[in-house]
Amino acid sequence: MTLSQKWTVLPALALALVMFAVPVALVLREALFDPGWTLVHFERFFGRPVFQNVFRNTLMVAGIVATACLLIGYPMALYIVTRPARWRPLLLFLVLVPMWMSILVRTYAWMVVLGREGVINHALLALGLIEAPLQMLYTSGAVYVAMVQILLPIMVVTCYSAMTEIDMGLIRAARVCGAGPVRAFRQVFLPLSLEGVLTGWSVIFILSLGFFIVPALLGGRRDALLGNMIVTQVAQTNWGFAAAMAIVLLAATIVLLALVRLLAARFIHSPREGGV
Amino acid sequence: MLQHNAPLSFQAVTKRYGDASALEGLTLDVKAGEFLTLLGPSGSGKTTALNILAGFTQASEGEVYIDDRPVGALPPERRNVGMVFQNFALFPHMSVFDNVAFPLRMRKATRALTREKVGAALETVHLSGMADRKPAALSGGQRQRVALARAIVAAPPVLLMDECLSALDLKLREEMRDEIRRIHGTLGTTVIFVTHDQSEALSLSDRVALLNDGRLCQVDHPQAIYDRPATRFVADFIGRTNIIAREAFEHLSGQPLGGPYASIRPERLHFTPQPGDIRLTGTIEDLTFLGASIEGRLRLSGGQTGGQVLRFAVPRSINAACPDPGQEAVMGCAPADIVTLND
Ligand SMILES: Nc1ncnc2c1ncn2[C@@H]1O[C@H](COP(=O)(O)OP(=O)(O)O)[C@@H](O)[C@H]1O
Ligand SMILES: [Mg+2]
Repeated sequence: MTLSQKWTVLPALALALVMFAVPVALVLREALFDPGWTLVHFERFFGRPVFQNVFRNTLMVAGIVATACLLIGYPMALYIVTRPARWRPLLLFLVLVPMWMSILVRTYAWMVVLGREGVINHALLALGLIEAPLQMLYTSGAVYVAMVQILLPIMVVTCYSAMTEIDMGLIRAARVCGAGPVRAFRQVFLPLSLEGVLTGWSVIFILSLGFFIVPALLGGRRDALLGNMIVTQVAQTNWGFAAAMAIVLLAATIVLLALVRLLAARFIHSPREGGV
Repeated sequence: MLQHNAPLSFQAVTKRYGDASALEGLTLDVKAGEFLTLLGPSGSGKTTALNILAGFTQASEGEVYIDDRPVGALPPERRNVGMVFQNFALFPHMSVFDNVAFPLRMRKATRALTREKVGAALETVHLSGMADRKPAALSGGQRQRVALARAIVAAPPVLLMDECLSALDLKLREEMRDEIRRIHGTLGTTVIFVTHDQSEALSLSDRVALLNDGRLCQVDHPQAIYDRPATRFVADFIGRTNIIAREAFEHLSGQPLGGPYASIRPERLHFTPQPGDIRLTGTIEDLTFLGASIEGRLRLSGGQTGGQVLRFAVPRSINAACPDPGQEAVMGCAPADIVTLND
């Protein structure tokens, strides 16, 4: 990096400092001083199995939601990217339309769909397929379905933009080398799209960790995530404990993502690295 | 590595995109082992012809035959051709070895055979020490060689190259040109080489097929196509030439012309008109000394041809000095050096 390049990253660094480092420092101070130096909040968190169960559950839900989004979103992105160029903007637009509604509205919509008196139960009862309404609302399933639905567009867009970076000439090269369409996909396209896959998965994982409206409105008692715990503690003006939980969540996220990146660096290649 | 080679042939191949046709009734036979260049300006349909041959594009009409078998219905992976792409299209996530091994693995070659053939192909392109590198760690010329090795490793009877030298700088391009000629000589594969660079076409090919606007203009040996261009476009595109319209030419020479234009190459004009030569009188303009030769322009004087400018390029001789700019001069041209052109 030349000196002038160093100077040009300064505004970005300053922004990161103000928007990220300072708030985190404030939260950290809240967690560690009450008013004097103390570890009591962290001891409380790690001393009680109930919090750790919620913590583990949060990581698991985030992992499952991110993986489910990947399994659904990747084929969707693949479908869009292989359509003729003039159709792609429309298809992407359709994927993004649900994001115009707030998460709260979409969560209520899921209550309408999944409730005892909801759309699905009505339909199934009317068709005579069930005798009594199914319990769908206030279950883990409802939480997963809604979270995946809310976060899926992000995965599709991330995978799509990664796929558009791949030179389709490479697929032709693979074909002319003797690879059928499936093998050309597996050996060339898939490996080159993994970077986008990983980015999408990580973003959704992180976003999922902070969810609290969806589990609060659609889940049962056992579906509470760390976000819900933090909200409860804040509501009780337990600032120190809420801050401690936020710090634990942040630390866990950083460690996990660093591990994922480290693993990925060994196996994943950017589609740009061979550029002419 | 001696390999099989195959004849191939385009039979009335047309490709339309909407109303426009990228290729119009191309009929062309390529002999087994021949080095044929598709030459033409950008947009003339060269890539389209190659893509139809490789199976990336379906012809709207007509059929392509490889080894006397129609291949229109076969997907690219079943046509058994090798191809070098303009941007090389190396797989960025694979090492040089894996790139070159790819066609062999797709053909289910054993490990031992793969190692042996990849080694031989890399040796052919002088890249033996680079097997473990990634394409990103190679120079442009080295990538080009890897692409070439990948195209020839499975010994395909037909090798296609689409503008594969144009991404290289001049020196490398000339080096690779020699390399390609050498490899063609060793392997004996049928090669279809696409370029818009006439000097590449003339120096490499057994025959040149010139395309313009999706139509085949002329197919011939490089010297024949240079000496006997059939149309005004061919004469203009290959080398430099002077085009003289029929009336002007007939006025100058007093002889009838069998077509709308006459072409005289600059190097066919000279300052020592012989009896029987056509004589051109005018004023010398713009002399450029190029060491072995002198180039310049002759502005014709007199009635109907007045004002037309002819380029000339004469070998420099110590004895016969070239007139100075501004001077009147008479240049001659042997009737045999005048080529009649069609439109
Ligand atoms: N996919 C396509 N859709 C529409 N027109 C095309 C397409 N591919 C090529 N063409 C047109 O066909 C003509 C020939 O193109 P091409 O074969 O690529 O020329 P070249 O390789 O000689 O430069 C051009 O006018 C180009 O615009
Ligand atoms: Mg082209």
